[in-house]
Amino acid sequence: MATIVEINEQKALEVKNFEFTYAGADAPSIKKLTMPIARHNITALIGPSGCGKTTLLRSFNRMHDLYPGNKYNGEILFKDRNILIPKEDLIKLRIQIGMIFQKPTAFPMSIFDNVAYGMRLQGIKNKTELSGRVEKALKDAAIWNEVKDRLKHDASGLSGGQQQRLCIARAVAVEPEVLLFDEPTSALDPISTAGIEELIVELRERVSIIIVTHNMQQAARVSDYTGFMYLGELVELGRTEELFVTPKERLTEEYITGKFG
Amino acid sequence: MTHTQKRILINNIVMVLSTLSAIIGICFLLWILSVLVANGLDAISATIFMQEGAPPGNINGGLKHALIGQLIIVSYATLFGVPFGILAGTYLSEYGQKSKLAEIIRDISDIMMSAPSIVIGAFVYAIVVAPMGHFSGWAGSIALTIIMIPIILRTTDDMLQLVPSTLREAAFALGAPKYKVIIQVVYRGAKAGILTGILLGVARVAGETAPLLFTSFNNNFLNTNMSEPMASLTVTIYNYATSPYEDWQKLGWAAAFILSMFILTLNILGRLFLLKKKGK
Amino acid sequence: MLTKYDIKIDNIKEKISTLLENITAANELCLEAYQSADLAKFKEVGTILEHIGMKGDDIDNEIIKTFALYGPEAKELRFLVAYLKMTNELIRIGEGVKKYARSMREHVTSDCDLNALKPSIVLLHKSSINALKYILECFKQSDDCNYEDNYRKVLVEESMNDDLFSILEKEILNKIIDEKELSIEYVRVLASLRKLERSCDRSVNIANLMMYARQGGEIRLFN
Repeated sequence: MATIVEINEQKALEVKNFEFTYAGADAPSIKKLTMPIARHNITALIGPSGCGKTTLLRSFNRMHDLYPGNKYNGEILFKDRNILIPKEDLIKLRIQIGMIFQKPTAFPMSIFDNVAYGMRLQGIKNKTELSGRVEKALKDAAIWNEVKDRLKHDASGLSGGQQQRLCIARAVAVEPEVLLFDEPTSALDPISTAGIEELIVELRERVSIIIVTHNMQQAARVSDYTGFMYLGELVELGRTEELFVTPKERLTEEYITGKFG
Repeated sequence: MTHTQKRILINNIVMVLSTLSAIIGICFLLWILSVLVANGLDAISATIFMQEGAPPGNINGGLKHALIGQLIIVSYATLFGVPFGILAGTYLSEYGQKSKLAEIIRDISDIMMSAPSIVIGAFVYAIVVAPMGHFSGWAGSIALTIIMIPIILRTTDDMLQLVPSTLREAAFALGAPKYKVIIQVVYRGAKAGILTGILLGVARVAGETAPLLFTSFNNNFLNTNMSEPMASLTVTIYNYATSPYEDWQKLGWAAAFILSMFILTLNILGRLFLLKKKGK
Repeated sequence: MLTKYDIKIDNIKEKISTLLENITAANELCLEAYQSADLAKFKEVGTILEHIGMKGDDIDNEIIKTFALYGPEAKELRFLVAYLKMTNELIRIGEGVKKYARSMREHVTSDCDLNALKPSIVLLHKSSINALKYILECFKQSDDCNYEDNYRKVLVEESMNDDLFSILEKEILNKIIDEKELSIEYVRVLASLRKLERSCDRSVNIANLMMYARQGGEIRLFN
C-alpha cells in the first residue's frame, strides 16, 4: 500500500481506487490508485517512463475518452462528484480542469484568437469583455508586453517558450480550478524552462496544479507535494521538502538517488 | 583502385545518371510546350474567344462554345466533387481513422483513382445517358465528379492526418465539441494542403476527354442548358484535330494551347501555394 | 519576483544573522555584568542563550532541505556549505559565552583577587566581542559590506586577543606563585578566560568561511 502523507487542507481532487485499462490491453495501466490532491498547491507526479503518471493526468480531464475503448474504474472526485461517470458533462469538466501539453500547441490563428478561443466556446461574444480577459490572461502568463503590439499576428511566429506561455494564457483565460501540466518544459531550452517554472509557482495562488515531470529536480524546485509512481501504482505521496530529504519508501529513495529509471 | 576511390566513382556515376534522367524528362516537357506554343500561339486571336463554333471553311469559327461549355461542366463537377471529397476525407481522418470501414474506403478510393476514365464514362452512360435518352451536360459533370472525388478525398485525408493530434487534444482540453475542433482548428491547420488538393483535382479533371465522349458528347454550338449535350474543350480538340480541315486543325491547336496553359497555371499555383505556406 | 530558492536563502541568512546578533548581545551583557559585578546580569546571559542549540538545528535542517530541493552550484553551493559550518562555530561560541557567564559568576564571588587582572580581562573580552561585531556587520550589510576589510580586522583582533591572553596567563601565574592556596581557583579562572580566546579563534573560522563563500577556491580553516 502506498505511503501517503496526511493532507489537512482542502482537496481539489480525490482519486479513489482508480483503475485504468487502455483499449485492447490485457492488464490495467493504473492499479487501484488512491491519492488526494491538495487545493491551491502544486502536486508533482514523478516516476520512470511507463509508470502511469501521464495516464493518470489525462484521466483527470477525461482525455482518454477521445480514443475509443479505454476503460475507467473507481472514482475521481471533483467538487463532490465522481467525474468518471458516463453522464459527466465533458465540456464543462474541461473548462474547470484545463491542460497544458508537452509540445506548445498554438492554434493556427492570431494570438488574440488563440487566447479568446476557450471563452468564445463558452459563448462570450462581447468584444470589450473578450479584450479585457485576453489582456489579463496574457499578463498572468507574463507575456503581455511581448505580444501586446501584435495580437492580430499569427501565433506561429512566436518562439517555443512564448508559445507555451500563450497556451498557458489560453488555459487560464477560462478561469479553471485545476490546471494539468504534462511535462510542460521538456521541449524548451533552460531559460524558457526557468520562466515557465516561475509562472507555474505564481499561478498556484489561483488554481490547483498537477504537474507530470520526468525531471526530478523540477519537481523538487517547484512543487509542494510530490507523488512517486511506479508500474501503475502510487508508491509514496509526501510533502516535497520531506520526500526529497527522507523518503519513506525504499523504492522512492532508489529512484531519487538515480538507481533506476 | 582503393575502396574509397571505388565508392566515390560509383557515387559520381549515379549522380550523373540521375541528373541526365532529370534533364531528359525536362527536355520532353519543354519540347511538348514548345510545340504547343508554336502551333497554338499563332492560331490565337480575339475572335476565338468571341465566336462560336462554325462549319469548317468559315473564317468566323471560334472556341467560345467549347470554352464556356468546359467551364460549366467543370464548375458543376467541382461544386459536387469538392464538398463530397472533403467531407469524405474528413470522415476518414477524424472519425473512421484506422477502423476497418475506413481502410476499405481508402482502398476503394485508390482503385477508383486508377480506374480508366473511359470506363467511368461508360458507367455514367449506362446510368444517366441511357435512362435520359440523350447526352447531357449533367452526365458529363457527373462523370467528372466521380473522377474528382477520390483525388480530393485522398488529399484531404492525408492533409488532415498531418495535423498533429496534440493540436486536436488542446482544443478538446478547452471544452470544444468535436465538430468545432474539426472546423476551427483542424481545417485551419490543413487549409493550404486541402486547397492544393482541390486545385490539383480540378486541374486533373479539366483535362479529361474520354469520360466526356459519351456523356456530354459534344455540341458545335453554344449551349448552356445542362440537360442538352454540351461542348467541351477536350472533346473539341479531339474532334477538330482529327478532322481533315486545316482551319479546324488550327483551332484544335489553339484549344490545346489554351487548355494546357490553364492546367499548367493551376498546377503551378497549387504548388506555389503549398511552398508559401511551408515557408511561413 | 523572487524565486522560491531566493526566499529560502534569505530566510536562512536572516536566521543566522539573528543568532549572531543574540550571541553578540549576550556577550556584551556578560561584559557589563563583569564590569559592574552584577550577578543578575550573568544569569540573564544564560537565559538569552538558553535555546541556541535548537536554533542551530533548525538552521541546519533548513540548509539540508535547500540542498535537497534546489541542487545549488557555484556561489550558491559555497554559501550554503559556509552557512552550515558557520552554524556549528556560532553555537560553540554561544555555548562558550554561556559557560563563561556561569563560571565568572562564581569567580567574582570567590576569594580570588580579580581586580588586578580586571583591565586585561576587560580588554580580552572586548576584543572577542569586536571580532563578532565585524562579522555581524558583514551579515547586516550584505553586498555593501567591504569583506576583505572586515576579514582583516577580525584577523587583527584575533592576534591582539592571543597577545592579551598570553599577558593574562603570565599575570595569573604570578598570582598563583603569590597565593598558592588559591592556585586551583586561579587555574579555573584561566580555563574560563580561555573560552573567550577560543571564541575569537572561532570568529576567525567564521570569517574564513565567509571569504570562502565570497571568493571560492577550497575551504581552508586549519592552516
